[in-house]
Amino acid sequence: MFPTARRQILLQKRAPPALSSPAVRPPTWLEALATDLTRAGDLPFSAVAAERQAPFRDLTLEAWARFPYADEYQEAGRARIARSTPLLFGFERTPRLSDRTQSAVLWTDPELPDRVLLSLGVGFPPPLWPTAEPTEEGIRRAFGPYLLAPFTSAHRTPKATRILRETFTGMGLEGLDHLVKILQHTEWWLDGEATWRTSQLDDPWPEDPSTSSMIQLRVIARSAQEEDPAARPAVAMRTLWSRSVLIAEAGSCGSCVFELRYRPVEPDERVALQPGLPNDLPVDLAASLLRGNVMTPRQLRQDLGEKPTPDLLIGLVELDSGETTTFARLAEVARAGGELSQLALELAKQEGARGLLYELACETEDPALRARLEEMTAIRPAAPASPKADGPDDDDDDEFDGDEDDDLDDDLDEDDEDGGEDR
Amino acid sequence: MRYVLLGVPCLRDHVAEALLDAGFARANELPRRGPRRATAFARGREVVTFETDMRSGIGMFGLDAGTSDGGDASVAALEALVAGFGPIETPAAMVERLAAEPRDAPRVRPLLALGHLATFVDHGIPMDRLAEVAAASLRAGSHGLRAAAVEVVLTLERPELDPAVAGLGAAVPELAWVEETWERIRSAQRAEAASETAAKARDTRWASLHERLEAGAIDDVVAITDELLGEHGGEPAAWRARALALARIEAPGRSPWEAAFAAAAWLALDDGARAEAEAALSAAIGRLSPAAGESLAALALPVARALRTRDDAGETAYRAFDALASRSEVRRPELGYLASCQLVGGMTTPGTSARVRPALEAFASAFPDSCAAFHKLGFVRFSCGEPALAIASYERAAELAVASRPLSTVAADLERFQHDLGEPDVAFVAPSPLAIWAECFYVARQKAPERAAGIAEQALALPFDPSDAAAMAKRLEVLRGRAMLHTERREHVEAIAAYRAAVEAEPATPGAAGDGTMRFNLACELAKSGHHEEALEWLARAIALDEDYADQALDDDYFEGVWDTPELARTVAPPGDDITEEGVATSQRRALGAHHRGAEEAFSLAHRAVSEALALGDDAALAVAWRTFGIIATYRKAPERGVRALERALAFAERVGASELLGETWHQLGAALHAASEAAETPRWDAARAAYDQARRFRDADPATSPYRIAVSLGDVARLESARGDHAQAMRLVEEAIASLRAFLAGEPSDDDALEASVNLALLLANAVPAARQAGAGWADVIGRARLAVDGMVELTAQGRRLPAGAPSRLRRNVASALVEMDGASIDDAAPLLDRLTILEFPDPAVRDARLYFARLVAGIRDLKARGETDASIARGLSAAIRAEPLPESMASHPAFERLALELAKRLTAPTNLVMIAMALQMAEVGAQPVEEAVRSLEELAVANAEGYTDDDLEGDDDDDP
Repeated sequence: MFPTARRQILLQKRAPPALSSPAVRPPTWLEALATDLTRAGDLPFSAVAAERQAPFRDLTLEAWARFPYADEYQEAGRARIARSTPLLFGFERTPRLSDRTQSAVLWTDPELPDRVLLSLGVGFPPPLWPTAEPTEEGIRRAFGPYLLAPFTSAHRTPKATRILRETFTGMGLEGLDHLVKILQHTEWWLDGEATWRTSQLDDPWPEDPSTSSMIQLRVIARSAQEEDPAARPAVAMRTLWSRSVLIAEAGSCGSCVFELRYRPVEPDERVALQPGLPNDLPVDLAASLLRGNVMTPRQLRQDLGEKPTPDLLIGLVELDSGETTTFARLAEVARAGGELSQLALELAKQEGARGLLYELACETEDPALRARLEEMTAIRPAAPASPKADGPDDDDDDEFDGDEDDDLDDDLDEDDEDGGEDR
Repeated sequence: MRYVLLGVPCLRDHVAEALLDAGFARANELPRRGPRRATAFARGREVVTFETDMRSGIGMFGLDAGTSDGGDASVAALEALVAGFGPIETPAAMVERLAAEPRDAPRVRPLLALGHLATFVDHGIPMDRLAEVAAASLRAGSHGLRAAAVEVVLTLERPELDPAVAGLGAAVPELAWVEETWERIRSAQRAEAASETAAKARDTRWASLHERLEAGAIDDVVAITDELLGEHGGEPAAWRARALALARIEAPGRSPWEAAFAAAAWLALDDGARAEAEAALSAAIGRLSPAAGESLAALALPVARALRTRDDAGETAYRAFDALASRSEVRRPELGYLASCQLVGGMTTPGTSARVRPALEAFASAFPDSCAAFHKLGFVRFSCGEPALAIASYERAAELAVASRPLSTVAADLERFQHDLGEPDVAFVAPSPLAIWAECFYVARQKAPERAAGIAEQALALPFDPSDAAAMAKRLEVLRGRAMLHTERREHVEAIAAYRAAVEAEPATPGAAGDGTMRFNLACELAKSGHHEEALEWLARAIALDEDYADQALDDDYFEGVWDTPELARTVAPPGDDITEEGVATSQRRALGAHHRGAEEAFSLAHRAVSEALALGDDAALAVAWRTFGIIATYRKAPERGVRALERALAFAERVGASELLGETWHQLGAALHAASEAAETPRWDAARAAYDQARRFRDADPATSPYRIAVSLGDVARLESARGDHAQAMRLVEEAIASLRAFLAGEPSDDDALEASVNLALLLANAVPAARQAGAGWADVIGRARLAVDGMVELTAQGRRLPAGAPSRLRRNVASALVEMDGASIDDAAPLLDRLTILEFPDPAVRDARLYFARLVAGIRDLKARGETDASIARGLSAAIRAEPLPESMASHPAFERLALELAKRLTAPTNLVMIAMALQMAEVGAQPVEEAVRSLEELAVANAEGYTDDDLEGDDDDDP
């Protein structure tokens, strides 16, 4: 069964936020900005009534307190909300498969008096609020990638990069599906449940599914959840605002890898991205990378260049899977001998780099190594195919079997007679 | 697209960077599939694909200049561009280099790379040269190169490699299996090719059929359709062609029957061309003589038989006969009857019966001597909801079945018709009188019970042959039905006699004596009539046939007179031969375990514990066993039985005299009296309180009593006081219990005790909320207590402890009901608690989301019903939404039904869910269940999906047998 997610417990343990209602004078540029945006038409923001500002700020504070982060980060976010003032409302976006509409709101922060900031829905981390010059043009340039981004093919984004997270167990998760469930239901800057798996080459969901029949939607939903057995298990989804694509992938060594496909945004040094992340990354992608460690390919290659370690080598295979440079690096480490070379051979086998193992088997003078390599690359006739559904390794059943066992244990262990307690 | 291979490793990011700088854009980013990963870049019509093969570790570029003439010059420019990433080589050059390489190791990776490339590129690679290289590599000295070559050969599966594999087993014996595998692969390829050829030939035949049909070449058309129908007898298009060809032309040597046969088959099979097929059939029949009805039937029967392999055989055959009947001038009733018989069967629905009834009545009217017709008419009339007419039909059928008289003219005519069919048809076979009366009795029991007894007697009065197994089975059916009829009519004396007769008629052989129902029912009737001893004897015989009767007896109020007696316990759970104290204790624990799980077998397990304790003859064991039984009865909504069992337990406990045993038993008796009082007109609150107090005295006197057990007792007494209306006293007791548990926990008890105490503390804190409300506490106090309770539950969850079933849900409902009465500020304080409780109740966010969505949907439905909408109209609206049709106005304007199709589609994703939705809504539409219930059943499916269960998992649920 689904375990209690740790973050949900943390969510309960956090103290209620201290509310704050600073009285500020509206910035001088506000009126002109509101007028310009109204005239523009495609950015339907309108001014927040003064009496609604404090309640809205309090609500935002309360929502932020419900999302647990590291203490320092949480406090930075709380402080920004507490000192800032919401100015313009009115721009909304709804995930394709849910009715959980999110609002983009323009704020002013007294620490950035010449900038306007953009919050992107409930719980969006304040340190990641992008900023803009308080003019229509400034907003269009800095916020356009979030507010006016069209749906485009997941293959046509100008940028694509991969990020290595921790292992799923290290993140307190059971696996990919557990992670996806949490992303779908708690990170509301993502496009929720409109996900797709590896059998789909591109986003299969229509821009507006609300006009489709249930049968049509079920056809999409079912095909979207099919896996290509030749691919690593992965689930793709879009972000709600920039329409970027976030692909969560289960690496072959148990790590979680994110592939990010996006249209670059104008770098903004006022936005506190995680160190090492590309500075042109849309903030609604960056927001899903805040918890736990992340490692970028650049960091990994740099560290690996200094001194390879088992973790770095595994990281390389996870992150740069399918790269000929990874093959070359494994070959280099394998040929260097020592403890790491054994790991390199195992990783080569796991990655399907059979050519390396064959090549080493041809060239080695060491009979023990040759025997080991021949064992690793033994070629045998393929076993006859067996029906999958009835196989003993059918993981689908494990969860249920476990429950049945639990019940039996309960049955025998139960010796508490006070049935009245549960009444 | 031309491919070149890259001589050095190169990162995809570097390629992307350089190509983007050169004006290319990302066009396709294919994630890794097997060894392959590819990224395509486009600039106008030019495409460059960077592809890596992880097996060989070699990268390659696909270059497409986007020109129709191959665009050598443009490709050369692209080649120059990618040459910036390192030395490049064409596949042909690489093959030659490979062929010239004398060492094994350097040949491995290029061979794998070329093999990989050849899986999706079929030009630019000299396959004959690659085959030579593969042949040499398969016979190489080193294992590595041989293995690489095997991999390439078996991946490529190309015929050009035949020479490479030929003779491999002789040259390298360890690779003999490769040669065998290769032969299998190639023969599968040959079979596939042959199948493709056959399919092409078939296509050609079809094309030729259309052409010959247009040309009016009858013989050709018949010959071709013979071939086609030989392959696929149910092919409507072939029948169509044949019917059209035969109907169109007066072909010498061709019988008009052939045309009619083809047209009837076409009509039966092809819904889309009904009018055209009917015209063809009419034309064919028009060429027959008017008296050809028998022959028409003879024509249609083979059609019906030919169609029997289809799922809709009955329907299509009916339509074929019906079409013939409507065109026959002299045999219309007979053909109509034959048509009807295609549809009348075990699964006949009221709709089907209504369709065939006129034809059957017409036939019966034309042939009043036909027993088979009246028998079928009886069934159809019953199915149409006319039992009196149905019984009259059966009576007529029975009369005809036994009558022996000279054939009337029409009967003789019907016999001739049957003879002319050439093959006797089951439709005309008359059933036996006993079978008719048995069916009539069934109808009467269902719809005219006042006539059923008389009909049963008529059936049973018929002479019978004991050696006729089928007749004896029918007779037994009536005997059983008659006995059940008496039970239904509460005629207990008659029922006992009838069950005895039925049991006597049941075959004596074990396994053939039915399922024991007659024996069990006889036991019920005997028990009801006060013959307890004989009742238990017959119950034991029924249980010997089916153990489930043990559980049924424990719930069936006919046995009320023997419930909870040692005799019943011994009957339903006879003890084994080797009874030990430990075994009795295990049975008792299993019974409680089943009770806590909510399993149905808890009662029978409790009986087993009692039965074993009786066999053991130990007072302490009997006290515990009866107490277990009492607990289970109390919480299974039978508190009076609980009280009786606990009084028995107490009697044994007093003989033992142990404080712990007495304390527990008195406490449970208090709980049973409390539960019984809640449903009773004259509650026994004082008796319950006295029992609790007595328990407290024994517990206080026993130094081994755990303080947390005292606290739990206080909680139970608090609930009693609350139920009898003394809320202040209840609140005081809850406070005392909470304080007692906190003190216990502060004393650093063992881990197990601490966990038990924490669970009970959380429950008491939750109970304090309604207690405080009832005691008239202010909202701030109530909310404060609710917050404490929620914190306690969160703490327990954080410790990994499962919360007691229903605890968060009960507290949430209590807080939600309080919310309705609160003022604004209190609501703001209480509302977040509801969120937290929902999370505790449903920790899985997807499950929570589903639960919340369906709660909203059900609330919307209730809202609509309160405004006068019916279950049927709401169910129809939901069905419309699912089909993406407009919603009725009342639903369209209600927020609960927004994006309904989408919300259901994303939650009801399992393959069988769509059927379940249709069934649930259909049942609501016809009034078989309230629409909320239908939606709740969908909610459970959605939750199962959210939890990640598959249909297979859920099917496996039935096997939950510990």
